[in-house]
Amino acid sequence: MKETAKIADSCLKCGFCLNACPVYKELREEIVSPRGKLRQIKAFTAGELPSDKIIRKVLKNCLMCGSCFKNCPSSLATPHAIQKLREELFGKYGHDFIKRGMKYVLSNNKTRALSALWARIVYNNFRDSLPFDLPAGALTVKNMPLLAQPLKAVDFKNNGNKKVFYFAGCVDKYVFGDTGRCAARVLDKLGYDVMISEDEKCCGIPLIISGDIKAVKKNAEANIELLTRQYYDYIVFTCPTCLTAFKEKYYDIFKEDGVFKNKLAELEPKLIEITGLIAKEKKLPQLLGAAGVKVTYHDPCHMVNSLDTVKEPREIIKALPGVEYVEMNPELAASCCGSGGFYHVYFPETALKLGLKKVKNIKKTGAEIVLTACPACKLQIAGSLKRAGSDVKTMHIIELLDRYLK
Amino acid sequence: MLTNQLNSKLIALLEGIFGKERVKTSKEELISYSYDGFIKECLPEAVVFPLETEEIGQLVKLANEHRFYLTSRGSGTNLCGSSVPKKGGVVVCFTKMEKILEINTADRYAVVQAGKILEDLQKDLEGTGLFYPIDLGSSRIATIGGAVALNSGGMRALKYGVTRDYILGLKVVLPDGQVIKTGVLTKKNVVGYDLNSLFCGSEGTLGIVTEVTVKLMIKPKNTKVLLNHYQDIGNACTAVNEIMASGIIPTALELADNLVINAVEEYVKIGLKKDAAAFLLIELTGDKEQVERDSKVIEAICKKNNPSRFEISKSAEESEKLWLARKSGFGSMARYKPVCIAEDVTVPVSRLAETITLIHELAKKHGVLQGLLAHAGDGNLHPHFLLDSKEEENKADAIMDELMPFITGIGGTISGEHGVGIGKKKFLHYQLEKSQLDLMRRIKKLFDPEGVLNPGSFLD
Ligand SMILES: Cc1cc2nc3c(=O)[nH]c(=O)nc-3n(C[C@H](O)[C@H](O)[C@H](O)COP(=O)(O)OP(=O)(O)OC[C@H]3O[C@@H](n4cnc5c(N)ncnc54)[C@H](O)[C@@H]3O)c2cc1C
Ligand code: SF4
Ligand code: SF4
Repeated sequence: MKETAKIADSCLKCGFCLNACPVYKELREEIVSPRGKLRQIKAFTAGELPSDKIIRKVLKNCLMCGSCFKNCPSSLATPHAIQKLREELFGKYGHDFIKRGMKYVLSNNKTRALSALWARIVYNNFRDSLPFDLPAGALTVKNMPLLAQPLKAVDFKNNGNKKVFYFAGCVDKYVFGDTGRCAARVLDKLGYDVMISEDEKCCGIPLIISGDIKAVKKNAEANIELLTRQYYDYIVFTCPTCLTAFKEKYYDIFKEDGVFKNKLAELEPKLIEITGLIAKEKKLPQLLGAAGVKVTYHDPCHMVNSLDTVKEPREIIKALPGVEYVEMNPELAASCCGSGGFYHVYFPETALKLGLKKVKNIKKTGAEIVLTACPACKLQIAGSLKRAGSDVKTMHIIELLDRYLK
Repeated sequence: MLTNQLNSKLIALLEGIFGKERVKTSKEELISYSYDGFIKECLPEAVVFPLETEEIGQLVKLANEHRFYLTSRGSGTNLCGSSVPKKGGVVVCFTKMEKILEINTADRYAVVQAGKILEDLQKDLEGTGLFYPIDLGSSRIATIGGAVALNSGGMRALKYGVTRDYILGLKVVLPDGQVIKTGVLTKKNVVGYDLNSLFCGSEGTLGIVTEVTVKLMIKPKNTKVLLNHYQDIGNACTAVNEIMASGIIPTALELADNLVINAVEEYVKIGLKKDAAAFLLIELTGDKEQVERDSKVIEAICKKNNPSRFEISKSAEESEKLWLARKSGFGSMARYKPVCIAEDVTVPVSRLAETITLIHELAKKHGVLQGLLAHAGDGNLHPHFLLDSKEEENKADAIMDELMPFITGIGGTISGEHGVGIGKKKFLHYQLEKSQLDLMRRIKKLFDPEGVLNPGSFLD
């Protein structure tokens, strides 16, 4: 708790983080601003609050987007302080029923695959024949995508090429399986030997950010074991949030476990987000045919605030011959689409507003396709566009590359 | 004396005006409005979020009737504690009242509600070719209402002036609940007392501003930035004075001292010269020919004063890069210690060098870490004291106590743009004689006989 108190105590109260926080920008109430959250944390640790009822809600009202950290002149790790307190409160209250269900599904690869199968059969068959629509977080059932065929395991060809382990993550494996397949094809074309494994486990982010780091330890261990079992040149991610689990959150989980901490540190230089890897490829333009499309790009929060991968996606898009790129974010700062963990389930109103604001910005560009580099953003943006009656398509960058591969 | 006990009956009346959603009374909410950018905190008893002027009219009447205090608040970024509710009561928070009501490109003005964030206003103006020239270090979050109440200055004051120079009109709820509209749509206006100017800088003590009509300017198309390092602070200050005497008016003329240079370099690593005593950053804006012509003159002045390094931007990106040296100043040094107090003394520009030298000497004498940022062209100095204990805070006070008589003695001011609030109240006597302060108190009494608004302000 000392660590959290120290962060809260170091706040200068300058307010720089306020207009950087998507939640504050929508609600305009100090209590949910990063500065306000730190002050609440300070009051809580000092025992000044009458109960923990309100602070629990306040801390939940955070997208974990990292924008406050990025915009704080003192680089205060506000999201980390929020996370720590969520962990403490989790110890007292445990999960709500939504996360209890998720824990059951995500902790085990069998239940995860089974749930996905079940969802695909039931949902894909009935979505469009439902006589009514139902709310689903910030979106509605009819605005959710159909589930694609899940991504299958692929083994190395051992052809002497650089070895890439592709860590797809739950969404690109079970919801947007096509994204995963595109990623594998593009990497293959670029001359990588690609492996996808059945043994990859949920990175655990949905549970971690609810404060339940214990439940994730097993998955984290299994993932680290899997990735250190043999030699890989790179471990590539199409989901930046999964990557931040490895780069940030797992260190916290293994704070007192020297063995895993060391393994993690050894892995670190190989962990890379897919656009970060591909942007290094000089031969990329030669592999691509002419793309006569007008596109824009949405910066996922974690790409900007945690991974500092801002230039790379743009470089790749512009490498596509014939593409007309329109910038929707000249400040190159993250402006959250409203997805963020399970935020849209708990705060559908704010999430919807953020989604619709994004739609407005997308429309302003006149693009036919909005690209992004995160499956959760894709889900939220595609749903929001559909909800707003727009026919702009949403794609992961890798899907566009795949479409124009020669 | 007003009571400061809000009972449940009064809360219900507040809810009658604002609705339940826009009245906050939980301990948690109250804590959130007990602070601003200054150190001291005071708890309110309720917080309300107006959306319309009429609601505030009703609120003020209620406050008079039931005798409770009101303190206005924008984003709470002021550095003098002027938005904390010093005597409790109700905080009137403007953050949800932030509509833009009109943009008039023909006569170049905009009408905005008081809670409008300056940066958001700038965004609304994109594409019109116009801009609101006041640029604060805090523009990304400060509200126009807060800027009006403190007559905020900022980075471009040298060329464009301060908030007061851009207010054409205000809508104000007076302390008795009456609503008035001041000003006209023309810059020239000599009918009656200048009430715009009276409300501007009054720190929320005379009325509650709900709408502001601001003058807009044509956005200049070209920018050039010069960054010069000097090994001697005296040379830098001579350059400042010669620039000011040249007849060219830069948009910004900023100075940072050695501690700031080192802090920035450690944090953002942009290749500043760490052994330099100071850097000067000069920005010129205008049409292409003018900027080219002016930059030649300024370049000659800077070079004549022996810079140890001279840089000039050749593109917009380069300009932005050079600005990073100045814009990262506050954040970089704030990282050194948990507390950072930004002072705000301002002196006639010919006294710049000796004032800076004195500040450095005093900081050394009292053993306090100090980094200086200055809007040098305006003689506006921000010594930042970096502190980590109450004892160090006392030392910073001791420095100011030694510095203030000098500042006011040479015709300067104890605050150029941050305001007095509770932060600088203790230094007020260095600048205002009793007769002047009494006159101000009488003005306050005339506007607000019951003392409903912003109690505990610099006047008490
Ligand atoms: C990092 C940083 C940089 C800064 N840079 C500058 C700078 O360059 N130049 C500068 O001048 N200042 C600067 N400031 C100070 C501060 O940001 C400004 O004073 C700003 O104008 C305050 O706006 P606010 O919305 O935060 O007002 P608040 O802090 O909320 O309030 C300020 C005062 O205005 C009153 N007030 C607010 N709204 C109303 C209203 N509607 N009607 C009547 N009274 C009202 C309050 O009662 C209070 O007295 C800086 C502050 C920080 C933290
Ligand atoms: S992580 Fe994002 S949503 Fe959460 S407080 Fe920080 S800026 Fe706001
Ligand atoms: S930007 Fe950082 S120091 Fe400033 S108020 Fe926010 S958390 Fe505190």
